Amino acid sequence: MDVRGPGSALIERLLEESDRKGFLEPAAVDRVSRELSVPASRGYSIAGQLEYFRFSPSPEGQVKICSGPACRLAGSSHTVQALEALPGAGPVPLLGSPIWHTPILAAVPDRKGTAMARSVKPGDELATADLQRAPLATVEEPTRELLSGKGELLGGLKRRRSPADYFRSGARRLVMFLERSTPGETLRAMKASRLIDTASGHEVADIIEDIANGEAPSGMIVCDTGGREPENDTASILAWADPMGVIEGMLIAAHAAGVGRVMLFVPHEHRGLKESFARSIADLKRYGLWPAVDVEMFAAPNFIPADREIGIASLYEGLTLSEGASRAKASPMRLWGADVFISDPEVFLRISKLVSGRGKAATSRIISVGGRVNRPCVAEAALTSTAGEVISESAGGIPDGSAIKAVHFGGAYGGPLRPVALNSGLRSLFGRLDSAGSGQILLIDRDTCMVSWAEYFAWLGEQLCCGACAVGRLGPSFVRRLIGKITSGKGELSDLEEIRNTIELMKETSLCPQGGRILNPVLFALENFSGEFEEHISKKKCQAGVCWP
Amino acid sequence: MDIRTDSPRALEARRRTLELILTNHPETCVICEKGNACQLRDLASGMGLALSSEKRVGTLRGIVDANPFIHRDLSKCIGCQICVRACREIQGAEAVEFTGISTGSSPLTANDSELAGSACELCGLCVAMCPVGALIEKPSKHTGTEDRRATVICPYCGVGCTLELRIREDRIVGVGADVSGSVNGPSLCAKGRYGLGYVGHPDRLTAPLVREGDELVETSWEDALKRFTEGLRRITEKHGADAVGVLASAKATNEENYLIQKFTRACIGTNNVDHCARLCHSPTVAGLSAAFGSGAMTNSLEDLAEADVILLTGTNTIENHPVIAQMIKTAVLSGGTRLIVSDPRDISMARYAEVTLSPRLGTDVAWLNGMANVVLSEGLADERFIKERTEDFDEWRASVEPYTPELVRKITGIKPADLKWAARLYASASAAAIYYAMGITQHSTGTDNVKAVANLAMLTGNIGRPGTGVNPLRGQNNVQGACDVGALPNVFPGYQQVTDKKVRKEFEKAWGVKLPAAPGLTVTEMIEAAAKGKLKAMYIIGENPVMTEPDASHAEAALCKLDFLVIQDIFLTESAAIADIVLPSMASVEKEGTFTNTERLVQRSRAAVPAPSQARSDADIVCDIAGLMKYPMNYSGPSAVMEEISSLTPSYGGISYSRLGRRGLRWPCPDSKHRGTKILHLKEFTRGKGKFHPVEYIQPAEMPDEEYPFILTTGRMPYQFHAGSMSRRSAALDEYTPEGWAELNPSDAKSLGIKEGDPIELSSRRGTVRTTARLSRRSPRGAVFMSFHFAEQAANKLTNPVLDKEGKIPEFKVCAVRVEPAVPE
Repeated sequence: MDVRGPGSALIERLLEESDRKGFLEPAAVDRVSRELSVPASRGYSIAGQLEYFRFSPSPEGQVKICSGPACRLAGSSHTVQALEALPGAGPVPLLGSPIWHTPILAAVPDRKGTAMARSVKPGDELATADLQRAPLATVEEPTRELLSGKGELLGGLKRRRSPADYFRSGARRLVMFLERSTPGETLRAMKASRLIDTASGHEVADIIEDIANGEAPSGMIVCDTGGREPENDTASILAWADPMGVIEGMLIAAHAAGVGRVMLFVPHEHRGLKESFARSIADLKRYGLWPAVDVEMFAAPNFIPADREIGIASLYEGLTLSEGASRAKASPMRLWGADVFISDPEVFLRISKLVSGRGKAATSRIISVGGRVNRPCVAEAALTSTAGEVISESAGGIPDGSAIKAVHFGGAYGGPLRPVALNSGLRSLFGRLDSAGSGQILLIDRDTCMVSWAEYFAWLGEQLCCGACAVGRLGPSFVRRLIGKITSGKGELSDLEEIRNTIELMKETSLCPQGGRILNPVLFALENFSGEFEEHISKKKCQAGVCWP
Repeated sequence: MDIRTDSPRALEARRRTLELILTNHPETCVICEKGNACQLRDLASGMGLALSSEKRVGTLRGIVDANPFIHRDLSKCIGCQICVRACREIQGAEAVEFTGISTGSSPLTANDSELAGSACELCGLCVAMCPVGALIEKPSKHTGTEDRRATVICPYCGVGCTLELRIREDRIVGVGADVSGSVNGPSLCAKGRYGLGYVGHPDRLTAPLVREGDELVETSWEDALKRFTEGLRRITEKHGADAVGVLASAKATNEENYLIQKFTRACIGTNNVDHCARLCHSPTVAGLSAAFGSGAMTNSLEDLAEADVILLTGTNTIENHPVIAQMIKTAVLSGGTRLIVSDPRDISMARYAEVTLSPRLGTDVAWLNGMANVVLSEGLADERFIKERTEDFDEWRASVEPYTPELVRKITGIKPADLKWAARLYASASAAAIYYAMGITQHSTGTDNVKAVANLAMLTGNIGRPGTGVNPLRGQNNVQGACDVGALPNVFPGYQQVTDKKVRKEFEKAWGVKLPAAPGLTVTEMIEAAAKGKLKAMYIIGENPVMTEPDASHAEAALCKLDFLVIQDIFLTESAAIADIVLPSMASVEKEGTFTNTERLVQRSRAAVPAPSQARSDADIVCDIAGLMKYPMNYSGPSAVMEEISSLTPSYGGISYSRLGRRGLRWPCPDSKHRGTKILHLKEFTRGKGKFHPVEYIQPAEMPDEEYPFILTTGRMPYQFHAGSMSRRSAALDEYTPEGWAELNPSDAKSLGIKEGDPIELSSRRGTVRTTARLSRRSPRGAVFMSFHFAEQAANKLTNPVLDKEGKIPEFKVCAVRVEPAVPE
């Protein structure tokens, strides 16, 4: 059965050409398109929508600065400013986290290795030497401390479980499980677990059952190991920690759904992850483990400016993002041409627990913690615990003397809440957010201006919208411009209404779900920190001293 | 489901979305060429919205593109992507895609190159559909808003597109497609959309000219027609009627062509009437008539998309019949149709093909017989069809047995695996159609090629059903009609043989004179007869033999030798320049009449703009001359002529102006109740049984040798037409391709020391032409391609006048030439 999508070859060839020269030259776009009988305009369009591809050579030693929310809080914008002051330096913003750095500020000399730089405060000077002295992190594996922790998935995982480990100990159990359980029995076990799909918010068993009962000729199980939003690496870290566990969960899901195709979407930038899955799939085939299901990997650039599922499906099918968005609007079935269950490693790892009979309702969630905490980390937290408990237990608490002004939940699709939220249970907190929001918690102190924070998310919204529909294309820019008026002291109170109206319009009329959620952080900021906005407008005052001293 | 589009919520969302779009739109309404046609402006003013200067999200984009057709200003783009969808879903060119993200996203070509250097066919469909001023037609800039519109049939190729002319103060200021029931729907090609500049060109002939010594001087119509009739009388009285030859015109209407042939036969008294069909599809008429009984396209363009497989051969469709190419491309891209392309050059259509065959030039019979051989050996023939509907199969089968894939490879260079793949694909399809053009016909074996095509279609039962057939693509807008109404030397209207006594009697009765019984001379025979001094006078209407005849220098010399030459045209063409009398005629958009397109569809065209000064319609001129020659031909108008045509032409029997309407009628349409015929040979062939004709591969008459080591093949460019008299006087087309070139394979060029753009000389046994080199892998090694549109680089000075025995077509597609670097001027 064909697992590799019609677009896989195009992306792979474009990546090959791009990585060979460091950029994608016009002749390469033409050549690849011709080889694969794809219109050159389409090849160019697909590449042109992905941040990874450049169409002209980058300056030697160009530094890329991560521009995700956690790194922003850690001072990435100041690093950019400091670097811009250096002669010859031309830092470019980077999204899509090509390295394991959650949630540590990263500066990345292009194609030369990865340097973890210290954060820079406003006014600090940064010398090139600082970057040169910074420790080089390998891109093959994440820092080990990120793996250890408590909980169902991370608990006891002191080291990575390699494919070899798996085939020594776990493979036999899986085969026995699949042989003993009919698809119906597997589905019943899944139902009993009441496992929730973190991507859609629905029960996994319901989605699988729909596929099993569907009329589509061929279904597919897809795992997105790239994470749902910029910079948040929890998905990749989990996938790297236990690649065969992820595949195991996917095979069980495929068995229950009665489908024969399993596809792993792996970020091309994560070399270690790619190699790990390549090895896992090769071992799987070598040992002939459950040949009823074909397992393949699809590696593509991680940062896709679109709804994650639409983006991956578009690349897989060889469509432009705007085509993918239009197809999805017409009918989700038309997106993949098949019934598909797509989720992230966390969900599949939990499904894999069915093998050992430990499948039960998830009581924990993988979260990443950053911002004003002592020890940024990836942790597994009980859903019954409060955010405050998680921060003190897993992230070493709040630095002495820090006054927390806001708690940002759910990454790029969540938003900032008042500090009182630290006392709320995680289950209720995540329940308030858009289902696509990640398990990210960022603590924001008084040095951060919430209006600037909202302006940053409007900028991020621009980067995360493909531009296929008018509101998605123009909404974030318009909102950014309005907030810019406020941060530059020219704002009016009517601008706040206009911002709300625009976000509401995007929620109502955007072509894909991405447009509806992309400015959630702005909306949350307006709801919870309206006083700060009004103060900027009426009194021309910025409490944090960011907009004006 | 109850869907409301006017609920307060919907209206508010629409208003706010529009407001958002306006924040990103430049403030250039006052000077924007889109003017009142801007849908954004229309919607905004309807909602009381205006551009807001305060909250703008500026997107300044450069204005790009040097081509003379399309002005692209992406800062005005609203990202609706209609252009992307039109290019992909209607045009099938896929030249632009939505690229980039957020406010930086726009419809771009591959690598953001200029339109002209991309896959863009410059058809202008995107421009026609753009709701704002992001895409504007350059030729229509600064011409103002039209005051009226009129529909006409496109004067260029044989597709028969309906054009909607935008007219201001009797001048054409823009051209669009008439989407209501037209052949072309919303599509047009660059020539149709941007190629009507010639109509109002200052070079138009506005008064009759007569030769005074070495000069042509203006005179009155009275004087010109008097000299004409005296000249004709002088020749016929001295040398007989057969000393006169008449060329009708594939650009004139059916009614005019009918009158011209009637005038020739009934008034002058000779069958020496022919036209340029001789130079393009005479083998089609000969070959398909012999095989099926009718020499026209068997199916309609409407059912093209019904084909599971299309075999395209000898047609560079994207360049020569762009609107039909668009139909094929969209059929393929929609996934319903699979395409086989067979062409010696690597034509653009190959991109859409599942199988591409690249036979050597002039080897069509071999690969077509080879396809048949594979079909037979693999048991893929439609035996029931063969048994019930055809004859002479066994004899023919024996003739193709030697054409094994291996032999075919030796002759054509086609790999056996590719030939088998193509044969299986074609024969296994439930409906497979063949489309071809002059790559098949313009050979000394043109009629054999056509017969081989017909054999293959009959072998697989691909005739007489939707999505099947043998479909020749005609090159001029009324070349089909001119044939239908008898502008041929051997047949009266409706292909009724002049040698048939009964038929002749019928026409004699209708026309009231005794008619000549012997078939007349063809175009090429007339030129030869003139060269030998046997033909003394020619009356040439809308043709330019000096440019279009093979061995053009010889043709020019032959015309110069005539005692009396009259040219009737809209411009002083190269042929007109040597005439004794030149009569100014109307362009097709200036007169009423009907045109019959490549699929036998008879359509009405209206007089849209007045003719310049004294220019008159061909019909009026011919009737006046006939009157002066005491053979009155009086009609109240074109519709009355059509009544006479339908009374004498069985296939046009039910066609009248009152019935044609907007959609026209396809012949055969035998009576006034018949609704026309989309598919020929449904239950039986026109001739009864389809006839298999054994045909053997014969190599082209002139093959390369040491002295002339290359093969020259000629054809058309997408942005020029025929002898260039119209297209070269349409400013945009002329600006885009102001001169011709010779296309050489880079390997050949390298071995000759020739680089891109170098001046070169091409020589054949008949002449030498100087041009520039264009290097492209589209031409195979050993071959050179030239178009014949440019008098300065007249390719036909080189071509071989050798004729196909039956069709009498010259071998334009193959002759031996020498290529040499030329000294720069």
